[in-house]
Amino acid sequence: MHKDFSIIEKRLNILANSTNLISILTADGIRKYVNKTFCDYFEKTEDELIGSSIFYGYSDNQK
Amino acid sequence: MKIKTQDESVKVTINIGRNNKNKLIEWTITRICDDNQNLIELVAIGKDISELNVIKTQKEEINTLLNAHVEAIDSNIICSITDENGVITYANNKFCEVSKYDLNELVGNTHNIINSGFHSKDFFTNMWKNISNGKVWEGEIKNKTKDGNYYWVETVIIPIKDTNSKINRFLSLRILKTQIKEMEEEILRLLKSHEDMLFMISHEIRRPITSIMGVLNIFNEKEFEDTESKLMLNYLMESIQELDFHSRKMTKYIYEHKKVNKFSSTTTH
Repeated sequence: MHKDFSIIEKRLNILANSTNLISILTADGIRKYVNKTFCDYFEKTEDELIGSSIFYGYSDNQK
Repeated sequence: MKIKTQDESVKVTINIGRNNKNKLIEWTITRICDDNQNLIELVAIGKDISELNVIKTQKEEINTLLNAHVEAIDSNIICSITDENGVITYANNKFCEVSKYDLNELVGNTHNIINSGFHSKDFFTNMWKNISNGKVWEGEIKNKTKDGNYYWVETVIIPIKDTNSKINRFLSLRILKTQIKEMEEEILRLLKSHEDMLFMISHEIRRPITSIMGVLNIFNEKEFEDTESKLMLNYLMESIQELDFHSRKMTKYIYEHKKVNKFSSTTTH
């Protein structure tokens, strides 16, 4: 099954397994991708985070 | 559509409240644009640097404390650091001030540069044996300045180990001791002259006194016809007895004085 991974899937796999907090945002600040480290760190599920805006996110302090 | 990544990255640090703790995250944000420079998306890569920040704060505190210590040391103590071979890598201002050497003359040299030649080879061999075995060495060393003057220092040499417990540096701290040492040397000189005097009195003066007394005693047994000679002989007898008494007293005094003094000219240093 792993052999069938496309290059893009493999790249996503690298992002998913990174110990860094990784998110990809649309130009207007909506999260369209978050990795597992990101979810674990902010104690949220992937579903809760994807589609949410960074301006109404995890923190009141965020500027 | 061709997407290209722009080179510019932004580093942002933000504070968030998590588990009632302020966390510091460093974000590297990369803008991804199309051929017409329209922003398509942003990739944000974050890293929790809270602990790094705590370490940084601690490091700053330690540095402040260390600087205060170094400042205190620099004003009074002659300090130098060498590598594992004894080559000087650091010397403080006090070292330069006392030794009359510039820092760049000292760095790269060993402490041989200030060797006065006073101490035996064994003295330094023993010192090296101690410190290369990781022991702290303490002692008094006579050093020589660039212009040929001598100075005594009370020295402590501390071996410093690297993370693998291997000695890679030696820290030397010294206090100038010349004045105390000069006084000690002066005392020793005085004591030596006391002993010389003791020797002179007990041998060189006492011996002729004894000879004179012996001869006078022989004369004293003879009958003199003229009273003048008799009187002169009595006068000589009295004088020599007085000389005998005082020279004995002096010998005794110096001998007792020497005993109570903690120094002795036989002490080597």
